[in-house]
Order: sequence, then structure tokens, then C-alpha cells
Amino acid sequence: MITVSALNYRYRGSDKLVLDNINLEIETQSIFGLLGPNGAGKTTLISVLTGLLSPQEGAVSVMGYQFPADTKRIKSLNGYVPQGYAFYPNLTAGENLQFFAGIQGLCGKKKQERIQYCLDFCQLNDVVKQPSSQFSGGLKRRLNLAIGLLSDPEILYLDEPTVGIDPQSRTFILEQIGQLRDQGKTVIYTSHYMEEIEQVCDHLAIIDNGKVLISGTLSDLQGQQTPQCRIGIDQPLSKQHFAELSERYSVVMPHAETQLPCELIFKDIHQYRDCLDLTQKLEEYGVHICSVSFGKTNLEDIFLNLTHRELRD
Amino acid sequence: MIQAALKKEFSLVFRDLHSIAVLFIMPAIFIVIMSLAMQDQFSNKDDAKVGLFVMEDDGAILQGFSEELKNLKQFEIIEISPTEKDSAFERLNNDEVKAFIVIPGHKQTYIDDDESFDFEDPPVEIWFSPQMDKRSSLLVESAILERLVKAKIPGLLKLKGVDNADKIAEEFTSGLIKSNYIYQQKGEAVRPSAVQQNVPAWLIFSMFFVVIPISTTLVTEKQQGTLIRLRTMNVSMSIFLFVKTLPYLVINQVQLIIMLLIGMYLIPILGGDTLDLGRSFSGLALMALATGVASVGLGLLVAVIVKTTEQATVLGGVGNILLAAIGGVMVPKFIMPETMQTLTNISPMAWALEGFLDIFLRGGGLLSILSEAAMLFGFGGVMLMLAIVVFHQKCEG
Repeated sequence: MITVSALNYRYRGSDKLVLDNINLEIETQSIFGLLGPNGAGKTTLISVLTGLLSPQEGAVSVMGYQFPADTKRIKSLNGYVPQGYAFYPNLTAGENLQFFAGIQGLCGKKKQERIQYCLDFCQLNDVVKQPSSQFSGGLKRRLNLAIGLLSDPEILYLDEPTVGIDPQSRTFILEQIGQLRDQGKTVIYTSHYMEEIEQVCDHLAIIDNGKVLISGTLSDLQGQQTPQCRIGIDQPLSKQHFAELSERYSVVMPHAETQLPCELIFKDIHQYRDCLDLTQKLEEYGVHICSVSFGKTNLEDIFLNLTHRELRD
Repeated sequence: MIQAALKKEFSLVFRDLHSIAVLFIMPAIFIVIMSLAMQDQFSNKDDAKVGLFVMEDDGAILQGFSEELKNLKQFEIIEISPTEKDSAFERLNNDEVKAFIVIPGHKQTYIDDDESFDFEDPPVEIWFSPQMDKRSSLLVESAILERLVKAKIPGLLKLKGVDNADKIAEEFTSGLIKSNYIYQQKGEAVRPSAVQQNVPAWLIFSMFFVVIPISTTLVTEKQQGTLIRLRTMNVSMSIFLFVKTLPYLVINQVQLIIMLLIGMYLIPILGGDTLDLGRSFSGLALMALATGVASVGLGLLVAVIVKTTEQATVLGGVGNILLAAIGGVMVPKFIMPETMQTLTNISPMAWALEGFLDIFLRGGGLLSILSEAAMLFGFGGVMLMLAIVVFHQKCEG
């Protein structure tokens, strides 16, 4: 279990709390998703969990070990895959793996076995002698992941591991992450791709402005939300019309007014009269309704309800 | 860990052609150019000449006077007829010639006749080009003064009633000064060449240029996230930073060997003098190591302070040039005014240069360079510790 209690953190010279009273419990041998927009505090939280930053207030316990007393022991449990391509582009894939294995104290047969395992796991055998600067985005992500796995970590931190890659590579990485859970590893996964979090994570937390807004399993989170009505419309709604609607009705627009698909979310289907009024109002604006759907909210809706903004804002 | 870090650093440096160019090719070119360009400033040879006109007002070139100046082998004598006098001044103004000597016709007798004495009007006028430096001006004045004194001493002796005045004057004027040089090359006391002065100067300059690749590689590691990744591992950052300096220390020694070889073998082929390594290889080795420690220490401090590769290149490059300018690398210390000579002591390049010159010029050994080596080791150690402290402070956000 990874436990974070009343954790606060602010950077030197700043009054603003980047992490504000964070409380989390993360089950081991599971995939935990950390969801939030840029600047929400995800990377700072991961930096504290990986021992890069020392907790200023509050407590962090990782599999029974405490910061800061057991920092060295905790670091030995971790593998970290940063968002950037954190390897040396002038070195080949093999040289990168040799360096990161050697620098962590792996040597001899064990070192070669771990390198070979990581090459196999990330399917990099064919490019082991190629300079990594020549890799495609997908290969770079796989090498980034392979380096994170070299020390056979108990806990793997993945920070936006699928940014900028093609769908096939994304699918491959997500499948491999699923395999890691099956091997008994704990994966902490940050992303702003909600469909990925929905696909691979057992538990998740939504974080914004340094605060955990909600946490639990996806079904827990969905259960806490009021059923919604999603109304598809044939054209973008102007700012003025949307302002008028949102003043009268409990309605949000999940995408910016110029973006497609155009849709509105009526947040509480129990207020069905209001919903009918809303559809009439739309007709008055010359906007035609293309589709109406009722049911459970998805992760994007939950995020929108909690933060009143899109994740990609 | 050390082996892995060393291998990585060597691979990164030797695959980066820009770093290689900065560290090896640029200083090699500097050494060749500066040694050949400044050859005349230090040369024993008689080809350090200054352009000079000799003319007189009434049309007759003073052949004897001209020949004697030529014999001094310091100047290129261009004899010019009186009809070209105006154009001669123009050429002087345009710096086509460095000095223009005018000997009025009625003073010809004064110069040629050792018994003619007239202290009212100077017998020789010298006009200097605006770009004539003070040292060369004095050289021209001294040469003419010497010629005049030689001409007049027999007359003065005759006036005093001395017999054999001409013979005594000749012996007197030729035996007044004997020049000696402490510097020895192959057992002979000789004047040190430009190579002896320039190779150590530009060698030190090139060794300090490791500041740029050290800082740019560390900045790149910060920007790529590799440094953060390493910090999440149980890798001691102090040891990592220390290990990072070792390849550059080795590179420094390779630079030293290559630059010395250039001085010993390439420059003579190109027409320059041969570099003599002195007589203390242990002293040379200690100076090489001390200079390397100072340069990599400084490089690491710059590396942890700067945030971008642009800052690293500018701070490393400009800082190096300033240290070289202050430290007597670009302008030899001995031609600086006294205040500037004192100021050179703030630059570690000056300490290094003094140490190398002790070995190359002054015949010094291990003991004579101990103070310079200690200062360089101390400087490097302080820089290294500061770098580690600053790095850890920055990591804590």
C-alpha cells in the first residue's frame, strides 16, 4: 500500500501550495491512474512519491517504508518513466540500456538478463544497435519504458507514457502495462487521455490545483455522479446563447464552442421539464438536435463536472 | 557505476563533432597561427623588419648611412629619390611604410664628417606612421642614434688628442654590450622562440574549453529528463557529478599531448621553431593534471548554474575568453602595464601559464611549479564542491 496523508508542498520562493492537503491510498499490484490537466500537481506528487522531492508537511508511506528515513529503500522499489524521452539520443538503444543498468549497480549475468528481458518485453531486439535519435515516437516510448523496467521495480511510475505516438504503439504500451499488473507490479499512471485511464486503470484520482477532487474505482466515481443527458446539436453554440442557457439550466458544454462534435450535457436528468425547455430554446436559436443519450457519465463528464473545464484546457 | 558513467561520457563526447572541433581542432589552429604570426616578436632571426625610407633634400642618397642601417638587419630599407618625397609622406600616412627618415642636404657633411659638430639643428628627422608601435619607434631611433654616435666618437677622441681614435672608437662601440639568455635549448643559451611562449598559452586556453561540453551535456541531461530519471534511482549525484569530470580530465591530457606534438613536429614543418619541452616531465605532468582539475571544476560549476545550452555556450565561451585575456594568454603578461600584470593573478589561466612557462622557459622542475599546481588544484576543488552544493540546492526546488 502507498499512503499519502495530508501532504502539502510548495516550491521555494512561492506562496502557492502545489500540493494541498493530498490524501490518497494506492493499492499495490494494481494500476492507479492520476488524472489532471497540466499544472494540476501530478508531476509534483510523483516527484514526492519517487523521492525526488522531500515531503514538507504530511506523511508518505510506500510499502511500509517512510519518507524521508527510508528514502534509499523506497527508491530501490521504484522505476520511473518520465514524460520526456529521458535517454541519450546519441547512444544506441543497447548502449542506453547498458548505461542505465550499470549506473544502478547491475552487473554481470544479472545485468545482461535484465537488459534482455526489457528488450523482449518492449520488443526492441531489432533496433538494439540503432542510435535512438533515429527512432520513431513509438520506439522512443518503448525504450523509455524499457529503461524504467531495468531494475525490476515493484512500483512503476509512468508519466504520460503515450504522448505523441501512433495508435498501434499506444495499444502495445497499454497492453504491456496490463501485463505488468498481471506480474504483480504496481503501476502509477498519469495521463490526460481519459480513455486510456478508463481502459487500464483499476483505481484513479482526479487532481486539480494541487487538490485531489475525487478518487476510487471508475465505477465508484460513476456511481457518485448524477445521471446525465447528452444532447448532440448540428452546429456550434455561440458564447452568448450558451451563457443564456447556462444561466437558466444546469448545463455544460464539454468542448469549446468552435469544436466538433457539438454537444451539451444536461447535468441532471431528474429535472426533465428543464430538459424539455432546453430543447425548445435550442430550436429558437436555430440549432437542431441530432441526438439525445441518457445514462452513466464517463470519465470526461466526471472531470468536467468537478472542474468545470476540459482536461485539455 | 563509475565504469558505466565513464563509457557513456566518452561515447557522448566523441560522437559530438562540435565538441571535438572546439576541444581539439580550434586550439590546434590557434597554436599554429599564433606561433607563426608572433614568430618575429620573439625571433633570433634577423627578419623582423620595419619599412624605412632614407632620403635627403639635395638629391644624393647617403649610401654609407643606408648601408649601415641595412647591416643592422632590423629594417627593410627602401631608398627613395627626393622627387618622390611627397608620395613618400602619403605612403607613410597610409602605413605602407612605417617610418620615413629625412636627412637635410646641408647636414650630410655632419653625418659623413666625424669632426663636424653642430648641436643647433638635429641632423636627422624621423616621421612615423600612425600605426608604428612605440617599441619599433624606439628601435628606429636607437639604430640611427647608434650610427651617429659611432660616426662622432672618433672625432671626439681626436679632439681630445687620443691616438688611434678610429680603432679605439670601433673597439669601444662594438664591445659595450654582451647579451645573454638564461633560457637554454639543447645546451645552448638562446632567446626563447614564439613557440615556447605560445604553445603553453593556447594549450591552457584549449584545456579550459572543456567548460563548454561539460556544461552543455549536463544541461542536455537536465532538459531531456535523464538527470531526473537518474535522481529517482539510487545513484549518488555527488559521485555522478564527480565521475562526469573524469572523462574530461582525460580529454584534457589528450589535448595537452596533441598540442605539444603540434609544437614539436607540425610548426617546424610550417616554418616555425621547434617546441622544447624543458627538462622536467614530472613537473609537466603535474601542471597538466592541475590545469585539468581547475578546468573541469570550473566547467562543472558553470554546468550546474546555467539553464540552457545557449547560456552554457555563452557563459563558457565568453568566460574563457575573459579569463584568457586577463590571464596573459592572448596578450603576453610581460608587455602588459604593471597594474594589468597584477590583475592577471586573478585568472587561473595565469597560474597555469606561469607553471608551464617555468618548465618551458625558465628550466624549472617539479619544485618550482608546486605553488602554481597547488593553486590550480585548490581552485578546481573549490569549484567542484560549489558545483555539488549548488546542484543539490537546485534539486530541492
